[in-house]
Amino acid sequence: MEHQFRINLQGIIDLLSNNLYGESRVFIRELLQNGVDAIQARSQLIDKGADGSALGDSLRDNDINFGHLKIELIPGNSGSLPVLSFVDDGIGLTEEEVHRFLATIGQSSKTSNLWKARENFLGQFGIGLLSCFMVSEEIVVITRSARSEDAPTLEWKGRSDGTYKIRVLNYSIEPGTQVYLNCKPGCESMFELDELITNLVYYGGLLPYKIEVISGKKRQIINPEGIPWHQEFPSETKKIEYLLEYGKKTFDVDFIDAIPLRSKIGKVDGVAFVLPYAPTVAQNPTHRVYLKQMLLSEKAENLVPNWAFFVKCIINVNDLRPTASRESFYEDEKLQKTREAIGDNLRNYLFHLHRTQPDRLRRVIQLHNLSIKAMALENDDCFHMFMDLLTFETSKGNMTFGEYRRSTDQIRYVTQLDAFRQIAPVAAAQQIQILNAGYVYEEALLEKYQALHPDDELQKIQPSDLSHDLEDLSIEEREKSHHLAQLADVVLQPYHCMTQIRKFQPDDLPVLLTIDGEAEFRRDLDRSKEVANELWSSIMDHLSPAASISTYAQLCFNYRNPLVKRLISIRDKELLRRCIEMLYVQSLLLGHHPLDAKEMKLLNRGLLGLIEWGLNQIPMKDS
Amino acid sequence: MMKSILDQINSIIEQVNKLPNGNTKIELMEEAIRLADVHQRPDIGFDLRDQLMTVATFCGAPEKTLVAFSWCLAQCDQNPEEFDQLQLLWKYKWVVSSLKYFPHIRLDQINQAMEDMTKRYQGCGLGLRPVYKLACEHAMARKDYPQVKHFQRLWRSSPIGSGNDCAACERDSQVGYYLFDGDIDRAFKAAEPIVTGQMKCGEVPHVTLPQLLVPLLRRKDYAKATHYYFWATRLLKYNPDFISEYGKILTFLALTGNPNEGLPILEAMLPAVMETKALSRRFYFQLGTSLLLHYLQESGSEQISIRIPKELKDLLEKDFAGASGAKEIDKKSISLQSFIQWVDADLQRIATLFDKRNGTDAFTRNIEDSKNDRELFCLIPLKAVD
Repeated sequence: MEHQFRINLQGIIDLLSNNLYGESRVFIRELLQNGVDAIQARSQLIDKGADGSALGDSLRDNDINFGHLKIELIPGNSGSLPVLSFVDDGIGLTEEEVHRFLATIGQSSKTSNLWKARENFLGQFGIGLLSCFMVSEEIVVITRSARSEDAPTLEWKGRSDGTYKIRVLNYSIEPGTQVYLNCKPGCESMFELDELITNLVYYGGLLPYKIEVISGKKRQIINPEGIPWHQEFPSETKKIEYLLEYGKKTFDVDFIDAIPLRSKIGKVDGVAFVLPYAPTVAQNPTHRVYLKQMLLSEKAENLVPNWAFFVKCIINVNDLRPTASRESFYEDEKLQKTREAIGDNLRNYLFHLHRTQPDRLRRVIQLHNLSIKAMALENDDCFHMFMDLLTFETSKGNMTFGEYRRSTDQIRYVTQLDAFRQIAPVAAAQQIQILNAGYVYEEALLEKYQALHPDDELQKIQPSDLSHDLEDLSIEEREKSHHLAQLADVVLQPYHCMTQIRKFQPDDLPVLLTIDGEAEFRRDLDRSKEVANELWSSIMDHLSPAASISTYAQLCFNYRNPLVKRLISIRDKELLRRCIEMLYVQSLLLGHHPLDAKEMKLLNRGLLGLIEWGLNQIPMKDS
Repeated sequence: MMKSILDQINSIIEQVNKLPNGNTKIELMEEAIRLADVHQRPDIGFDLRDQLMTVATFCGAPEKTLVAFSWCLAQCDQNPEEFDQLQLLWKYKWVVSSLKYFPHIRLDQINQAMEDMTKRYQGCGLGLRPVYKLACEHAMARKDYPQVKHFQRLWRSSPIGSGNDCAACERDSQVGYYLFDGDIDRAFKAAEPIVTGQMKCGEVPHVTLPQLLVPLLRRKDYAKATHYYFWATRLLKYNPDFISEYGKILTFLALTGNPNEGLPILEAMLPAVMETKALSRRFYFQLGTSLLLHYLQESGSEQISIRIPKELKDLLEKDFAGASGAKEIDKKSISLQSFIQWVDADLQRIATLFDKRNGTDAFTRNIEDSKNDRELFCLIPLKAVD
């Protein structure tokens, strides 16, 4: 024998309010949506006729003026809770439809079907109503269909326990639907006038139909201006001023500019506000998006190109498919092209600034260097226009790429921050200009520059390459310092350090220690191995193949330095060894490189040895 | 006045927080750690390494996670009063999972690491489900079918404890298992909550979508495959952590005749591919590269114009130039034949390393399987409408 489950509607409502809807104020969005859909359905009825073909004159005559939503709040008094009525003059429902929409309450509540169901008015009406149970135990719907003149006025009373009653009223109302909600204890705030208006503006502020709130003698239109960027303005300046004010009102931010957006694909338009601060790019920027003028999401993130984190947008979308989560749109070619069109709008704005207000453009680029770098990377036109204006760190301080390029014969860059810090001061002293491409996007930008300018030779250098740019020794000097070079190599070999002798500025710098990325990783690994247990120590041994030359640090002695000159003259091997060791350790410390156990030992031994050596120079009194 | 070490570290962290995942972020973290170490502040060093592990794991530098982890684990063992092991154990999963990327790490070391993880998880009452899942994934990587079945059963039947992966990651792994098992229907069913957006996290659906592309081609569900392709490329953002995933994307593009979509990806990802120490990731990327380049060659191309890292350029000129016949590699374009030879040699080299370590022929078979996927070819122009 077949049995049927009993469904607990309240349970389903609780589930939905916790999962599908997220917050209880969405009942306002759902009621607005129902009203808008009903009005649109009535417009279609007039266009097509009740039966989808010919249109009766009587229908047309009666249906000239409609498209109005009225929301009335009847405050509670002692002992009674407030009541809210939502009235639209849309298509209304026939008796058959009232029964049918009830059936859809359960059928279409599945998240994945939500948007499919939304495509047809009847299919979604029930879903919209369902959300009202979050704030009201009982829903009363009074409706009269616009499909025929003699349509009866119907009353439907539904309760959150899953029961409902339906009856024909003995009076006639204008076509449309009225929904009455009795405030559920605990939901009073939703029935307060200020909160109600805030929520209505939030969801429906851009809707194309007049929305009026009434409470006692107070009457207020919540969308008197419609879509801000659709309004007529005497001049472009006035328009931007108005939009900036709208941006301030919406996000409470003093944006520095407003860029109108438009894409034919996806039927999208809106406005992008240029942020007055450089935002963190660790998180995806989010934007406020409306779907057919109804707020869809405050956190939509895939409508604007990834690189455009210098703007915050408000966008209205007419022809893209939102995902069930309402926070993004369905990824397909159409969306991609829409995104490209929005990207074009933003790029054109910057191009326009470039032509008309170069100073302003410079300010925008300074503020949003990172975003513009990302943009230049993605698009060749942007690259050509903005690359020279982007700021980089160089061994001669911050300058734009254009300034840097013009000031040097060869573009030399390092791709690691630490590498730059190691060599920048020495490079600057040699009048060698080095560009730091260690920050986000910079290496890729330089590679792009090289690809677009194959005749300019760009040189990517490792810190250890710098020694090639330092002045070499003469044969005579080489012979003179040969024993230092030889001993230094032997002494520092166990520490994975190679040595060289060169001549460089400043004279008072005895040695220059450079540690490339791979060598730095080996040092970090060795430090971990020192403390790690046997298992992890052995795993680290096998992490990558045997140490190669690239894992060596490099210590370059400065032949110009007086101390190094004295070292060259020392013949005492033991003393020389100790000096080499100490110079090595000191350069590690100066470069903020933690010492490993062997190096620490070296430091201790060296210090004690030098003390001892110093003391030995003083004759002891007793002897 | 000299900034205090804490001020210096804080100002670095402040910079880090503003950055998207990537090398810059890792380097800054490492700099902060060095500062803490120089000043002998293991407490700060511990917290910083803890953060570095997250950054490095999600920026494609698993070797750095491993090094930082070993250091932290040692501190916990040596000074349990001061350092909380529990905080670290969550990341043990990442580290053990990453061991499969490195062919020089021996199997017995991997097993010992898993035993150690088991002991520590049991000791802290964390439950062994994630350990079994990892063991299953390691077995899948070397195509050790009996072990896969064994650990999958244990994984499936163990309760979800507080050390478990997030629900989305766990679900993604299940999808991976069903795909490995050839049970495509169940894979798609398991993927349902991920592809409808009900289950998501920092890396899901990013890693799920690419692995569904070829199965979708197999099912001839081209509309969905295209949708997942667009979705995935929007999410992956050329993050070096997704080298393997990009390999699957390239495979899809090769099998649908879209080299113009594939070459920019190749260009953008090659530097990270050349740099990564995670060789199995490089391997999976190269599988896609190989298919794409062969497709181009079979369509009559001889040269391609993409930017490649200098190191690779030198290599092609030095070791693979002969293959291109008389054609010189000029500044703008490279010989397809040389490129193909290098990619295929690279694949074979890595496969040999792993197969030798695993004592199986799993990786070599992957190369064969990938070649067989060419049967799925179906021309789907992705940029048809303008």
